[in-house]
Amino acid sequence: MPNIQAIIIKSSDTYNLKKLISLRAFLLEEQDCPWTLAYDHENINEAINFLQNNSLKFFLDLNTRNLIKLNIKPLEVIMMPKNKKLNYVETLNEIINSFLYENEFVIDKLRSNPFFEDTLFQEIQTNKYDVNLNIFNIYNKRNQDLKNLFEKANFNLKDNYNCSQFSKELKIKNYWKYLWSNVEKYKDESIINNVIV
Amino acid sequence: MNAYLTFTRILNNEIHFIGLENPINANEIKNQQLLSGQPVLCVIENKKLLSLYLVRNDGFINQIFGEIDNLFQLNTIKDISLINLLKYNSFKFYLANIFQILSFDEMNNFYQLMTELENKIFYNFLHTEIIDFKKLIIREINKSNWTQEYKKRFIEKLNKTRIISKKLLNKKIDLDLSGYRIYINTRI
Repeated sequence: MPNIQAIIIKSSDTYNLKKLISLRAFLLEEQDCPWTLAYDHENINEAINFLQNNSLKFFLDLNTRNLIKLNIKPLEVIMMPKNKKLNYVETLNEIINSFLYENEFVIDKLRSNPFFEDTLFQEIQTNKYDVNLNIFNIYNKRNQDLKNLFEKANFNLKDNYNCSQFSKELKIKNYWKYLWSNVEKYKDESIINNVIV
Repeated sequence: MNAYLTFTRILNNEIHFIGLENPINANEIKNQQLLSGQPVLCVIENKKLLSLYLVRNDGFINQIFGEIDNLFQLNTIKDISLINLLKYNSFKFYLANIFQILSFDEMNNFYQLMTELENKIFYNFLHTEIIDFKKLIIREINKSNWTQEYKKRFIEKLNKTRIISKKLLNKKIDLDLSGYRIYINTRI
């Protein structure tokens, strides 16, 4: 097992920022969540389009490559107990935030996991991100589908203590990926409008 | 006072903790939601259970017994779940897979049957030596109260299910101990 704490400290510079973001993604089990830095794009609409136009596999591969560059094997992070992971995340958050400066970290967590908060849509709703109407409508529709899915499944995370509930959680995740993870869903709004939960 | 991470074993509302001598006040726990094979944290002093925490699938812990949160007074949790970890993860993996053939409506309507099957499997086998997991699950499916049609579907799904990585079956129980100053000792 590599000394992750030492790797984090050693890599604490702007050159390694994206690698550290990828490490944090693995620690938070968000390794396939689409993310980008707004400064890499002309405006926020472009940044969101970049997230939409790339598959979850693209982001998983990106994060995996970055992790390997840090000399950490992905499976080692996956196998790590949650308590340990959260300790590293605390350290990483401080370092990453200090290097972001004015740069905006844009992430779409909900696309890969229906149990994550839709932070992207929250930012859109509070007008932090000035996005076009088409983008707003897509994420608005996605949120409605999410509500419908949880109603249909009759699932409450606070009861999730046994295998029977766990199987339902997995089914919700798989169903959500089928509904909203594909690039095509975001490209063609007419398809999105025809999705029936 | 010691804290242990282990699994429950439940029959007719009677609770046992695998690997621990049963606390003298175990009968005070009346929680219909408990099933065999659930990871729990129990704090015990002088053979008496002081507090009990259920561990959610995402690692969040929830105290369901005891007036005081004793984890704040302790430095270590003794992890005695490791000896049964491979069995726990294997059964969890197979059960989660076979139940997924059910629709959401079926999952809601047959929840009782699902938990009965789950309870039976963990009660009978989690503490024993096992070689063939699938064979044991098939045996319990056949003895269960599910209809023949569902039994057939479960067994078909089980036979098709393959474990992708055996390493993942050794993954320790996730515990979110944010806010506590306590660490987990696995070298028991």
